[in-house]
Amino acid sequence: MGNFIGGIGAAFIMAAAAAIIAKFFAEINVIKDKDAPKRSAKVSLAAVAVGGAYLFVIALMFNALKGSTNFFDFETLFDFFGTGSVIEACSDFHIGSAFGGIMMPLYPALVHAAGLIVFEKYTLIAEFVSFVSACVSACLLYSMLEKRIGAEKSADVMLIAACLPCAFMLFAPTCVSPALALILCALYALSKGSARAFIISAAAACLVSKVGIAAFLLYPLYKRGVCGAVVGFLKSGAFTDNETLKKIILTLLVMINGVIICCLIRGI
Amino acid sequence: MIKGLKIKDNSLKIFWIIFAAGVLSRIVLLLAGLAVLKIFGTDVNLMDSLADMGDAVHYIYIAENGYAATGDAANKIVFFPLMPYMMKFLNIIFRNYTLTGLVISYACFGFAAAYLYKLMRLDYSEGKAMDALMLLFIAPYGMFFISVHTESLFLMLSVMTLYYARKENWIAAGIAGFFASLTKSQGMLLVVPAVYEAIICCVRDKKFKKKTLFTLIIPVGFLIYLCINKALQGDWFAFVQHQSVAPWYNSATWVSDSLSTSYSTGVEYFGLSMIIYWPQIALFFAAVALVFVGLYKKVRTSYLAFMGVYVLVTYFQSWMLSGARYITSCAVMYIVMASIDSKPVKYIMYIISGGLCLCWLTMWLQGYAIM
Repeated sequence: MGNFIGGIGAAFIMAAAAAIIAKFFAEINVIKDKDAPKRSAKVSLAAVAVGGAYLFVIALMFNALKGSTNFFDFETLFDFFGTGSVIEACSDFHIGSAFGGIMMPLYPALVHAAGLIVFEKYTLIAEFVSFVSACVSACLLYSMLEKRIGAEKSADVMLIAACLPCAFMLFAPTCVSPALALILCALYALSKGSARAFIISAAAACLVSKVGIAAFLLYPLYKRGVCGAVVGFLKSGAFTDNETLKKIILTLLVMINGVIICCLIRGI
Repeated sequence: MIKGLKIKDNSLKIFWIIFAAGVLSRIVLLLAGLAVLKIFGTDVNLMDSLADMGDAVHYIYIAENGYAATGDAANKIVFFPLMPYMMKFLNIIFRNYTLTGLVISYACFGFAAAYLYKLMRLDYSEGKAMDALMLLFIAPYGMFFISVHTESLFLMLSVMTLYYARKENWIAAGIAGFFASLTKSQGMLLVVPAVYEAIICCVRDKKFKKKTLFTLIIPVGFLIYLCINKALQGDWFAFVQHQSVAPWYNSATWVSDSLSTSYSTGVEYFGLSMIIYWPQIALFFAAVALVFVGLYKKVRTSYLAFMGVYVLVTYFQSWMLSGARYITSCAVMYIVMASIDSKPVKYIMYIISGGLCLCWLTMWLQGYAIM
């Protein structure tokens, strides 16, 4: 019970810290859109709720399949995803091994630096970074979709995206979520026509994860109209206007996620 | 305007009226506690009690003898210097260290109340400003504002820092914050709201104002304290070493570990749980909840930033005994509580605060280990 109270307390105050930091950026007019703070707050809350739900389900399934463990022991819960080696890389990081380890250097460097302040709680920091990155990803994706297909359809698409197979990995203490956030930053920069922001975001994504190279592939895809075609399909209503189809897809995705989590925990 | 008094808000008279009300509230609280004890037939030697309570004995010792480089008294270096050295200086007038400490506490509480009123009136109506004062006057751990502790002094200096930062008087904000960081370790955190306001000011006016750099002198007080550690005992962080051993056994740890330890110790020592451990866990969650309430009620973000970082750093302790006391001296708590519009919620806050205030005061006067 003590660990649970401690975990909830830490999550609570870190959420407060994140909210105050977001408010600061809104107050110094970094975000020009007046509605952006309110909209971002709602989307972020939804992302946190989804993350919390995934963690809860994973913890429940872990307890049922592998035996009792602390709900806030993220390293054990996500052990099937190799988080142990990720956290070890972060805790052991030093400049000399920057490019020689199993990961690209930016993520372990930042987690290690933060760990010097936060009592070497590398798993906690990595989990916090994942949640914040997931919120950033959700806000960026929603913002891009809402402008093009409207609020209601965007909400449906976001819900489907949150239930995609292995979407729970975005809330694991690894570099997956920050990499996605930076890739979406690059896409957002492309949509705004900002070349400098695109290059910085794409480069950062590559330094966070090898998967980040996908950010550079966005440019030719964007120029060839692939993104536009996807938006066109979503706007057409062929998918988003069909309630029955949405329910079937959502149900299937949730079941697939459940089976994947179960198999991974059991080591199949 | 205060109805019936016909005094303008920017008058010095209202400042001194609130000051007097603050000092009087402490005297009334003390008398109320003594009256309750008398009703239950308990006799208390007031001056001896106030001199022996909690950390008072340490501040009086440092005021009399100063810090020690070696020996048993060397561990008193963990107490920050401003309060005991103010007592040493003003003892020339009062000739009694306990009395001097009490005068400082009561006077600082009066000034804290007056500045809190002025701070509230920058953004809120007179009614809400009065609510903040009332909630301060009946704070559950308000007994630490009537004894020889640093709470009153810190409260005054922190409210002054916030007030002068809001008035864009960067020099005054820097000086107040500097002295706050010589009072408690949390004092240097006042650099957060001060710099926040400075940035907002510069962004609003679209130019960098050199005077805002005065906010950076706030943590210098803490650096001076570190210099005292180095000069006396040869280690910049000598106080950390002393805190980690008897009688405190305290070191820095993450919030979750601190709360977890509080819970498990509360379960183990049930007698102390109701006066130490459960309140400090409850106040942690209440304080963080108030940050969210403040965001919703659009309380000044710099205040919320201070409260957030204050609560976070306060709960970085591996074996915390005084969490509730520290939270009580965070002025922003009263600002956010006063910003709540709902009358039923306000009445509940008043009832709970007032009831707990009197209950814990009488227990504290009897010598219960409320720290």
